Amino acid sequence: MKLDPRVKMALAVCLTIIVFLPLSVYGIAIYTAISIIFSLLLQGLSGTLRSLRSLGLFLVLIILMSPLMERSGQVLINLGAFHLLYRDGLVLALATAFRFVSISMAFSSLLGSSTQNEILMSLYALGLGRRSCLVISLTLSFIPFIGESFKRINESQKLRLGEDGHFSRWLFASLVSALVMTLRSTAPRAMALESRGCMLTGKLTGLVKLQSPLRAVLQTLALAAGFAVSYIGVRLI
Amino acid sequence: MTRSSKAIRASLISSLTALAAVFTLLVKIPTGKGYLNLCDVVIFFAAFTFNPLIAASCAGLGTALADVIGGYPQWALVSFAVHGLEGLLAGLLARFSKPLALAVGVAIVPLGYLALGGLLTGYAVALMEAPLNLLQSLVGAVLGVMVSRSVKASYPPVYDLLI
Repeated sequence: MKLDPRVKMALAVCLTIIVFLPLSVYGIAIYTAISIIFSLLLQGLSGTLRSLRSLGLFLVLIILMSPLMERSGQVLINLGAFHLLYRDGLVLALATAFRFVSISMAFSSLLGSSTQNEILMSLYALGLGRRSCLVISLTLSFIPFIGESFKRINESQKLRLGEDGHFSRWLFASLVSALVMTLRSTAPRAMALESRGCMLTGKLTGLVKLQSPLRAVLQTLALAAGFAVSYIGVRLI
Repeated sequence: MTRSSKAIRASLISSLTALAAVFTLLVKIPTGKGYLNLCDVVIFFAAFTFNPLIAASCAGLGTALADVIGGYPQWALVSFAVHGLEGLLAGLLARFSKPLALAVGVAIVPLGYLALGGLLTGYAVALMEAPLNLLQSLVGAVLGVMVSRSVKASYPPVYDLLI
């Protein structure tokens, strides 16, 4: 399914907010299923499974730990004289786990099915300032370069201080070197930005364009209607 | 503000933000319960060297981008809010008292993740993670102060970037 990235952003926000509204655990489960279906449609089975796999550890912790916080209601499991699991604890654990999955799937389907340019253009279209978009765009282009440089600095410091050198010594030396390298490149980069016309008014790179706003509005209206109908339906269940 | 200072500010924020993301993604110190990352080193460096807004921008954006790139996008908004507040408060308080700025900055991380992370994973899990967050923040703050002094000594032109 091809959705406008602005609509996908609105969808992620809606799915995040809706699971915090007063709903029963069944209602939250329905919205979790909806977010998984959206993820399947937007980023396919492999992307959805990859996203779900990254949640595994947290889900185990949530299921194990959350019931301990709520100790009221009908006792479901006893361990000798000790009441291990209460009904309200189980409901809390399930609601928390469903909520976590729903939010995670909403954001991973947004990011897994959109390019960096689409997300930046959407943020700009939704009101984020031009300078903020420029900073995010520059940051995303610096991360691989700074990451590679930091790895090389780390290796050099290890060689300089020897393999038996104390961990904290080469880590500290690497951190200082990486910061100095980054700061040294700040002024030339600023000059490069200016010479390319950035920070001047009225000049925008027009290489990437989103689809027409009308289509995005129609998709948003359709989704909003779907959410409104589903919320009323879930509340009535 | 002149045009050149705007360009330097954009360049500085994006460089420090990228560095915060790299320190979050690449520097992992193993502990018994998991890993510590060193994003707080850049946050405290920015707070003690530049101004609160630069510290807040690079802290919030850098950690949020690291979460997105690292495959944990659900944490991006929580990281943005908690670390952004950490950078802002540390930068503001550093103008009056550096020990106070350190103490508040260190306390914000476990408390913020407890309050906001608790909404995401439940308060039992958030409570379990609080000691590790406190340790990470503490190590980052101590290293941040030391790194800040070393950088200022080894690269004096950093003062020219002060806005």
